[in-house]
Parts: sequence; C-alpha cells; structure tokens
Amino acid sequence: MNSIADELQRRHQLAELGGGQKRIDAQHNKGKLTARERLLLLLDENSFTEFDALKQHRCQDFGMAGQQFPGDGVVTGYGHINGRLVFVFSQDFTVFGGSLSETNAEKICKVMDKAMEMGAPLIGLNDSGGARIQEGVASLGGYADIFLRNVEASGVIPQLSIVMGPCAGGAVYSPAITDFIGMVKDTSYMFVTGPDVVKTVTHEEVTAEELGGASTHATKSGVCDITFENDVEAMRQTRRLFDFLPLNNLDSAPTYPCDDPFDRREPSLNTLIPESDTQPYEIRELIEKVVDHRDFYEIQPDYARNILIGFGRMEGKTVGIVANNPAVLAGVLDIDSSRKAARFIRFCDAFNIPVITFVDVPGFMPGTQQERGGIIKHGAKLLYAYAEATVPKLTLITRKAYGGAYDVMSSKHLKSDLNLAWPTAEIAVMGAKGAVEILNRREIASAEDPAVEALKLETSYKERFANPFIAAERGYVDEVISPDSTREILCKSLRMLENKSVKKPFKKHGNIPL
Amino acid sequence: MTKRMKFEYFVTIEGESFELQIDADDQGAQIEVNGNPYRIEGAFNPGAGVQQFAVNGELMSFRITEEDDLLTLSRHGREVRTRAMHRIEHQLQSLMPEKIEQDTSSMVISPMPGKVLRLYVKPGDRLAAGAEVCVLEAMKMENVLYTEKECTVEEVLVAAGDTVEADQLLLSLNVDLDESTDTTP
Amino acid sequence: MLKKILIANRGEIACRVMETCQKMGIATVAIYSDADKLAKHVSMADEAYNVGPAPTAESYLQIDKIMEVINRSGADGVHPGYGFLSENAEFSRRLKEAGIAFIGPDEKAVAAMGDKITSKRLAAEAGVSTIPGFDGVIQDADQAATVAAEIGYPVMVKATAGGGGKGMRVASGADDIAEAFRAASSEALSGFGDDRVFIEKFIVQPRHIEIQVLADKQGKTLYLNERECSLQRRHQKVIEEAPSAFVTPEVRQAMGEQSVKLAQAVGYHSAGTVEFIMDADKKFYFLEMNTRLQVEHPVTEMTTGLDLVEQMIRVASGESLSMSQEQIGINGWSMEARVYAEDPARGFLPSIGRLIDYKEPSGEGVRVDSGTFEGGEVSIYYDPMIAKLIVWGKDREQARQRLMEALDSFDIRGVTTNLVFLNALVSHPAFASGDISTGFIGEEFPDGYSGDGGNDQQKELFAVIAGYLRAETRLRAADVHASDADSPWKILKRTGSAS
Repeated sequence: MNSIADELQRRHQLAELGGGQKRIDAQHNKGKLTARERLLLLLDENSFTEFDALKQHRCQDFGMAGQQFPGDGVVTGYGHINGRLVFVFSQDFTVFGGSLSETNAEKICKVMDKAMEMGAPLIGLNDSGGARIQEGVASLGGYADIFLRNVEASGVIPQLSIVMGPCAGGAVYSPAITDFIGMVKDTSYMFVTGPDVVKTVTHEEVTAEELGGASTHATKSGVCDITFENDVEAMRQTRRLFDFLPLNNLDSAPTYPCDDPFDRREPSLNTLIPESDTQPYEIRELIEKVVDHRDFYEIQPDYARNILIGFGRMEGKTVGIVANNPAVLAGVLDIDSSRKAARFIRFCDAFNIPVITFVDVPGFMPGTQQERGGIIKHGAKLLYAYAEATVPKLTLITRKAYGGAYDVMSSKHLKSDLNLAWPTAEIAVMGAKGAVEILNRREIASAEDPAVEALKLETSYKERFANPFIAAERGYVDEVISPDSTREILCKSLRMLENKSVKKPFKKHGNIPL
Repeated sequence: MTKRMKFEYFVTIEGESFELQIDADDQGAQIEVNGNPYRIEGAFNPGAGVQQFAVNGELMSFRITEEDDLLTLSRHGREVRTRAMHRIEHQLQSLMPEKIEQDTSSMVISPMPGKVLRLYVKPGDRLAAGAEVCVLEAMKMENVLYTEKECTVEEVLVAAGDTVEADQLLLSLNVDLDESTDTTP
Repeated sequence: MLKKILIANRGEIACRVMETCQKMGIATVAIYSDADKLAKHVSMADEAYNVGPAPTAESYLQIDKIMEVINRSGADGVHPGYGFLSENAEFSRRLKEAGIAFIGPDEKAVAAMGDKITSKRLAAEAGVSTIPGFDGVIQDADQAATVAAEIGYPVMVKATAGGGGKGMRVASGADDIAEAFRAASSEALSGFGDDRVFIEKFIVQPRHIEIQVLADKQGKTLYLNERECSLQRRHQKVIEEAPSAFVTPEVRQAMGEQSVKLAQAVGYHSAGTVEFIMDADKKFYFLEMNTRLQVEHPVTEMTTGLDLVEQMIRVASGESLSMSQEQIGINGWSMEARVYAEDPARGFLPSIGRLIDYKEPSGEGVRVDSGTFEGGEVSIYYDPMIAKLIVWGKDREQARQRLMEALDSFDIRGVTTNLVFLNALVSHPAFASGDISTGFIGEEFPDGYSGDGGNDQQKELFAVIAGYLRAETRLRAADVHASDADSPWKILKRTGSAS
C-alpha cells in the first residue's frame, strides 16, 4: 500500500512542478507566472480543486514516449471567486510550450462539459505555443472539440479568455468565440499567422507585438476587450469582472453589496450638457454618477472610443451600459462602434443583464471608407441587437438623437421599455444646418444675404425641433426628466421591469447580418 | 449580516513595503503593522473622493483616488501612491517586470478626418501636459486635441482651415526636455 | 438704510456680499457675463442682468452697462467687492453723480491712496513709519556710510538700473558699507552699463502684516487689528491669519494708531486696509493702503465677530459706527487658505475645466466662501480661485489643526487644485511655530510641490489606510451572491423545462 501512496505523492509533486524548475525560471524571466501561480491569484484561497492532474499523453512518435509530465501541459479544475463557482483551465507553457495535445484537449473539454452541467462560468488562461506537432491530426481534432464546446456554451455560461502568452494559429478561435478576451501587455500575442509567415507571403516586416500584441488588439482590431499591465493585475481585474456576471443564462446577475442610495440626486448633471451643441463633454461622468459607487467596468476602452460599453450596478444588480461618447468623433456611429456595441448588447441579453443606453449621436459616419467597409451591414448589427434583446432596456437621450441613428440607439420603436430624455434632448431627422440647407435651399439662395437667411432659418428650426417635446407628444419619449434625478428614475424603472417577460415567435435562430 | 475576515496584506509605498495583519468587519478593523496596533473605524464608501475614519479614536480625513489597483492617498500635505496586496500577490508581484512607459506623446495625430478650426500653438512654444493644441471640426462638432506631456512644439504641419485625414500627423513635439525640474522620486 | 444693492462683481465675493444683504433684508442685484449665466452669484440674487460677453473688459468693467442696470433695477447702492471697479475713481464719480451710494470710501481717498508716491508722502506726513531710504544717487563710499548710518543698519545698496538680484549688496554694519558700495557699483556697471546706486533699509526676514481699519462718515475711525499674510507666492497671498503670531500688543497698538491717523488724514470712511512690511526686530514700515474690502477680510471677521460687509453698508447708508475701539477684541484665531485651480507640480499652471465633484468641508469653526458649485466651471476668463477656506479656533494651534483637516476633506475633482500644497504649507513645522517670512514659499518650494509620503510614521499611517480599504473592498466582494434564492438553472434543468 505504501508504495502506491508514495507513487501518488511523487506524481503529484511532478505535476506541481510542470515542466521543471528550469522552465519555471525561464517563464518567470519573461515576466510571466506559471499556470498554477495564476490560478492561485485568480481563485479564492484554498478553493482550487484539480481534475486530471496525473493525466499523460499517449503519443509514441518523435521520441515523445519517453517524455512524460503528469498533467500534460494544462491545469484544469474548479474553484471559487468570491464564493461563486467557476471552472478553469490554465495552459502550462513550461510543458512542451503549453502545446495542445489530444489528452490536453480532453482535459479542457472535461471542465467545459462540467461547467455546462453545473451552469457555471468558464475561464481559460491561454499560454500555448499551438498544436503539439508531434501528435499531428489528433491535436487538430482536440482544437475542434474545444471550439465546438465554446460554441455550445455560448449564451449558456459566460466564457472568459485571458491571453497571457502566445496564442497563435487555430488556437485563437477558442478565445475568439468566448465572451471576453483579456490580454496582458507585452507578454501576450494573438494572430492567425505569425510574423514569419506574413513575411514570406506578403513581404511585410512586422513584429509579433505589432501584429498581435495586446495594444494592437485593444486599439486597432477590437479583438481584445480588456488589457492588463501584468499577470498579477490580470488576475485581480478578472476577479472584478467576474463579480458582475451571472453564473449562467437562467440565473439573474448577482447582487453586490450596495449602500449607495437609489434616489441619490446629482445636481451637477444639470450642467453636464454644454451650452453650445458643438461642444463635447464627458459622458463617462454621467455613467459614473448614475451607477452604484461610481464603479464602472469599461470594456474595450481603447477601441472605437466614440461609443462606451461596460458594466455597472444599480442597487447592487449588474447593468450593461452603452453610451455614445460625444468627446470622440462627436459620438458618431461607424463600423467599429456599431460592432462593438452590438456584441456587448447581445452578451447582456443572453445573460439577463438589463441594458441602459445613453444617447447623444449626430448620425452615422459618412464617407467612402465607411460605405466600402460595409457600414450598412455593420450598423444593422447594432439595430438587430437592440431589437432582438428581451432584457429590460432603458434609454436616455441626453442631447442629439439624429436621423437613422436615433432609431438604432434603442429607440421606442425597437421595443425599448422606457425612453427618457433630458430637457436638452434634440430628436430630429438631422441637425439644424443640414436640415435648413435641404428644406430651404431656394429661400436661402434667393435671399439678399444668404448667410443671414440661413442663420435665421436655422434658429427657427432649432426652436421648433431642438427639443424633446415633439417626440414626447408622440410617445416616442415616455418622460422628460430632470438630469439630477436620473439615477432615481432608472433605479425605479429597473425595479418595475424586474419580472419583464416577452413572447418571441419560435425560431431556430435569427439571421443577424454578420 | 456582519462578516468578519482576517487578512495579511503587504502595502508598498515609495518602494517600501509594510506588512499588515488585519482583522476586519464591516464596521472597522484592527490592524497591526511593525508591531504597532491601529484601530480603524468608519464606514467605507467606495468611490468617495474624501473619506473620514477614526484612527485610534482620532478622526482623520483622507483624500482618495483609485485607478485600477493603485490607490493615491493624501493627508496633511503628504501624498502617496499605494498598492495593497495579499501575500501571494506580493510574492508574485516581485516577478513582474518594471514597465517603462511607452512614449506616444511626441506627436499630435488627427483622430479622424476633419477640418482644423483653430490652432493655438506655434513652433518653439513650451506647453504643459494637457495643454490645448488645436481644435478639429468633424461631424459639425469641435474636438480639442491636447498634449500628453510637457513639451515644446517642434513643427506645425497644418494651418487653420486645412482639411486633414484620420491618423495624419498635425504637429511634432519635443518631449525630451531637461529633467532638472523632475521631482518624482 | 439702503434698500437694494447692486453687486458689481462675480464669484465668491459677490456671493459673500449677497449673504449679508439677505441677512439685513436688502434686495440684491447681480450682473453677469455670458460665461456666468449659470453662476452661483446669479442664482443667489433677487435680480440678475447680463452685461456682456465673457472677457471682463466687455462685461464686468463696463461702467456704462452697469449704470444702465442700476437705472433699470432701481438699486440705490453698489458694492464693488474687490478687484474690477472697486478702486476705480470714475466709477465712484459716476455713481455719485447719479445719486447712488458707493459702498466704499470716498473717491478722493481712493485716488490719494492709489498713487504710490502720494500715498507714501501722505503716510509720512501722518506720522506713519515708512521704509527709510535716500532717494538720491550715492556718489562715493563716504556718502554711502553717512546715509547708511542715518537709515540704520542693515542697509541695501541697490543699482538704480538693477534687477534680478544683480547690483545688490547688503551691508550689515559700518565695516561692510564701503565694500558693499564698491561691489554694487562695479556689478551695476558691468551688468547694466550704469554704475549709479542708491541705499535703502534692508528688511531682514520680512513679514507682511496689515491693519484693517473701519471708519464712518461722522469721523469715527477704528482699527480692527492685524492680519498676517506672509505666506505669498510671487506676491500673491496664499495663507492669511489673524492675529499675527509675531505681533505684540504694543506693536499692534502702534500699528493700529498709525493706520487710524492715515485714514483720518485722507478723510477715509468704510473698510480699508493699511499694509506694512515688518522686519525681524518687529519694526514696521508702510507699504500701501487698499481702499476696498480685502480677499482675506474673513479672518478679521472671525476674530472680531464683526460682519465687515454689514459695517460697510451701514456706513454707506450714513449710520455711525456703534462700537468703540475698546470693544474691539481678538477672540481666538483664524486662518484662511485660498483654494486655486492650479497645478503645484507644474509651475502652478492654471487648471481649467468642469468641477465634476465639489463638496465643501464643514464642521466646527469651518467657513467656506465660494462662488461655485458641483458641476460649475473654472473658465479661462476669470481668476482661478475656487474658494476661500476659513477656519476659527480658540488658539492658533487649534485653528491650524482645523484648517489641515478641512483642507483634507475638501472634495474637488475635475480640475487640479492646490489643496495638497496648501496643506503642505499649513502642516510645515516652520508655519506651525510661526516662523515665516514672505520668502518662505520661494525658499521651501522653489520648484512647486508634487507631494511625498513624509516620514516613516506618516507612511505607516498611509499603509494602514490602504490596507483597510483593500480589506473592506474584499469584505464587500465576499458578500456577492446570486439574486435568486434558488437557481432557476437547477429547477428548470432538472425538471426538463429548459433544454
């Protein structure tokens, strides 16, 4: 008996060490933590329970038979984040560069299956050189097994991917399907083909960082949702994000302790909108003053900054926030901002998170770049996401709601539950200048002083349309509210909408314009 | 429900590390550091810019700014950036590389296609960080561009009234000023 | 008594004056520029009138427009506050012609004190001590010695063309004077091509002490004791207090009596301030007289119990002062800190923007005079002073402690402020002991201030608070829980209602 106990202990010790001390040191020297260290930081103290610690690969080719590491390059299991269940896998770069083997994939699939049974989120910590080439097609099969489960789990349990090292080739498609991708600056990268292949095929010279580093994906491609300074911060921030999310699509979002009064008045919001309608302001101030304790977790803060998305809480319960940002490109809707917001809204809808939309939008971005890029279909995604969502939807128009963008931004017509407007709201087909140029072209042309005439007409257009009343008269706006009472009204509305139920026609799934 | 938990935290301030034993509930905490006991009382109100606590019975106000996991605290004319970590975080933090801030501050780039409405600077001007450089008009909205760092203007590549493309270089700046006035420790 | 007062000012002082008017049951009229439509002084007033665009020259300094508002509103008195038109002789004259009471001194007194040379001459004639000096050019070392002996050592030999510290030499006694003269002359010649020098009294560790006077039209003139404003940055007062830790009762009385004499000599009525410079030997010398309400007047109010604005209004209404000099005491101690939107870490550059958060401190002995509100704007057009924080304590140390706490609980976000810098001054050991001079800030903080952790004990306290905040954050997070008592996942999945 003793020998079995001893052997067990020996194997566990081996598993703990991953690829061995030398490789661990190498990992540390790169500024990266090991798979197990990361889990220590991610999960509550002593809460991690491991599966398959002793699992080994079955590969016989290329001299692999003699190289065995218990666990085979990925640490899997479950644990808790602030007491709530979560399933995890953490790829171990110290073992065969974290490469994905058939057995390795089986381990990941096992926790994914468990997460789906238990209705608990999955967090993957990616740090892998790619497929285990020695295993050939078995490794490829492993990837696809994971992809399939990612897709099945999509919309059932929240899936988070934190990329903390290389993630290249086919491997990128698992994170790509998950709900949020976090990346660590300077030590992680994601690309379908690496710099060497790029050079061979297109003769472009590019570094891994430029091609697929955290900042590239956070600012240019929009692939990355959150960036972190280092591994320690990554795990801390992931815990913070996790606290906003429900465990599954049947649960409500969790309740967080809150002693911020629901009826807190913010008189300063009465002066948030500048006097001149061409002057920008910070919509973030409105968001922070409306949510509990100013706690706003922004997603994709550096991508398509003309729209803001992120999580906050109202009376302790998670809400998703979408806001045009007048300080960047006047808050215009374009391809990137439409896609950014649309995907976020669909996440919220899938996981019972009410969506609050703050509208100050001058319209869609004109230009060849946008039209050729397919703004028609990308803008439609946002429209589709809002129209399709059945979670409570609250909309507040702070200033401009012009043209088609008015319709798209969670308007009454798309079955938003409550549409509010500040007195500064201007709901119109377009701004005064543009409207007058079209409506009064002849009058302006024939006037003695066209500029003066245009200005006169603009002023009268503004007086008539630059207000929320016409929309309110038609019921497109449910209420015109005083800005200082915004939080109170939103909180009360969310309480009222708590048990909202919607009947939808049967369908397999819609056909969102991808 | 009153929760009570014990913590062992390490707080770094100006490179120095303090080891804290904390026994906390939602009313306050008993904290020991360097053998000195502290009794802290006072509700914690996340997000407030100023908070008052009773420290060993004495009421004290602190100015608090949070950004990610850095906490800036100020009191009585002193101001520090702090980071509080539990033991494992503290140990592993030491493995994290020191990051040198990337410098993207020597250029002012147009964030969008638009028209230069006003230009506030000329070559040779010395500017503070956050100074207004120019105003771009796009979508009939005015967007102010600012400097990221203290700098002098090297070259102005556009004039008021010019139409510019997205990502176009508008001004180049010299941020390599002599560091004699730099007081950061 | 006046019935309706127009306040020809903006910001905190306009609000301050209106508060007293309201207390006295007097109607108030505000004027405002386009940039101030939403300002606090506008909403506080019973009536408000726009007087033009944001730049002061086109609005607050427009005498014609203000006269028109006076006409339209029917105001019978004008309080000018400080700055703007408060010492403008033409404005006073126009008001007099229109039969409107100017709440301030007579224009003649304003004119007399507005001119440096005249005021110094008048002061000397009234028996006020002025800085001894010899106006003429010094010809040689012998003459320098004679003049220096007359003035009294230490003296400063200064180049007439001088500047920037060049061509300046201090002689502390008869032994040094010849060398000082020679060095200053030669330096002046090489530096400015002009070797002419003159001699004046050298003030060692100068302190700025000023006397508040109050006079009625019937000829009664009182002094309300001193204020010390030695903490200055580039001649801008930063921290003021009353009384001064440096002034003795004898010196106070001498300064007060001289100030009264000067006020009487120019037929002064209303509130005014006689500014002195004082050396290490407590010898004081007249600098100038300000013929208006001072920014720092609250510290006098806090220690005398008098409302200076009320007294000014009563005097302007023709009432005589009801108190006597003997009744003016000093009750406790008061300090004032000027809170500015500026960045001490960047050469005190003004910081413009929206006051995203603005919460004033409160508590025993704390007073805040401000003209703004949360959501208000610090604009490029006006002085970036956000507020004046005034405290009272039973003694200097209590006042100082209260000021330190109040500065720490002033919550201003959106613009950079000098709050931490102010507190670095107030908590400085030299300030605590009262050992200050007008050169203090320049010597102690030559490069501004960006804050540090202080000594080990201070850092330990910060560590404790940082740890406490993290622990409390973690405690809250530990309380995160599912909203539903029983997870629908379990119910629906197990019953097969959801596939």
